[in-house]
Amino acid sequence: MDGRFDIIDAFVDGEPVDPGALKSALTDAEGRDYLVDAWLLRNVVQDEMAQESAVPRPARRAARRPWLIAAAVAGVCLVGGYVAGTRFPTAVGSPPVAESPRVETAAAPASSFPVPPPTRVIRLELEPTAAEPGAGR
Amino acid sequence: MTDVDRFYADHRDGVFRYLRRIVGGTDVAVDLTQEVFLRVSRAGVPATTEVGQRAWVFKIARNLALNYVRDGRRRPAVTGLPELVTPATQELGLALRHAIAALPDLERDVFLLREIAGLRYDEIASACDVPLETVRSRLHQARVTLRASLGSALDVRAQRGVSSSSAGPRGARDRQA
Repeated sequence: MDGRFDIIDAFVDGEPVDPGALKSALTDAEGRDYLVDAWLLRNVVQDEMAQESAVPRPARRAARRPWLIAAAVAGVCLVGGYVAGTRFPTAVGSPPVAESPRVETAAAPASSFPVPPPTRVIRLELEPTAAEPGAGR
Repeated sequence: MTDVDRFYADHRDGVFRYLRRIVGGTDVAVDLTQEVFLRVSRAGVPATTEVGQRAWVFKIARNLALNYVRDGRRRPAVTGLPELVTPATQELGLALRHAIAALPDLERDVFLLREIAGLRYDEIASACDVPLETVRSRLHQARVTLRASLGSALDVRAQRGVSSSSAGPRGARDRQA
């Protein structure tokens, strides 16, 4: 194979070609083989490319949308709460069963407890006076 | 969306894939891709045709890749394939990577710019600073070399059959579009 088949490359690559020259190149069995080989080679390269990932996106893009993260967290919480509620209804989802209140009777305090003796005793003697309204009636 | 943003969205994957083939590693390719578009943002997208813009950005990418390879005297590394491919495909893919890595620099670049990036001949000529006839001859030589390197593996592939829609003329460009 040599430069005679440049025109086959151009044809495979979608470049403008002279139809007569292309036909001439393809009359040769070697030229036809080359056409198929170039086609196969492209197929292999395209398959290889398909396996490769595109350029990784920068991580900072996620930081541009904090609301998206907040919405995702809220969604996870809601779903988690729902699932937990359906699986553990008494433990999480429903209010606890009210138990009868336990009544404990406290012992009455002692009837007497030490009271200090009075230090002063003030006696009040109430006598009617003239100033009082209704006094002497 | 600015011109640079739109330009980045249109070309980042093609530039990344091309660079990844040249330098061999994903991390380095990511760094170089960022460097390419950093230069694009500094210089601004040239007011020319789409063809000229594609050739321009791949010229930047090629120069950065060549500098990286030359500075470190590195050859393109041949990395493994994802596990999801079948063994036969994996073997052929690995052979293809080895064969591409063994090509002379210009042949490899012309081939990758055509097959990976989907550039037209005139775009490749502009990106590589070579005449159009050189693109034709190097591309042809690259295919001949790869065909000889892959040998029987390609014949096995031929027996399995190919999809005409994925490998026909202008296949790479159609897929990118």
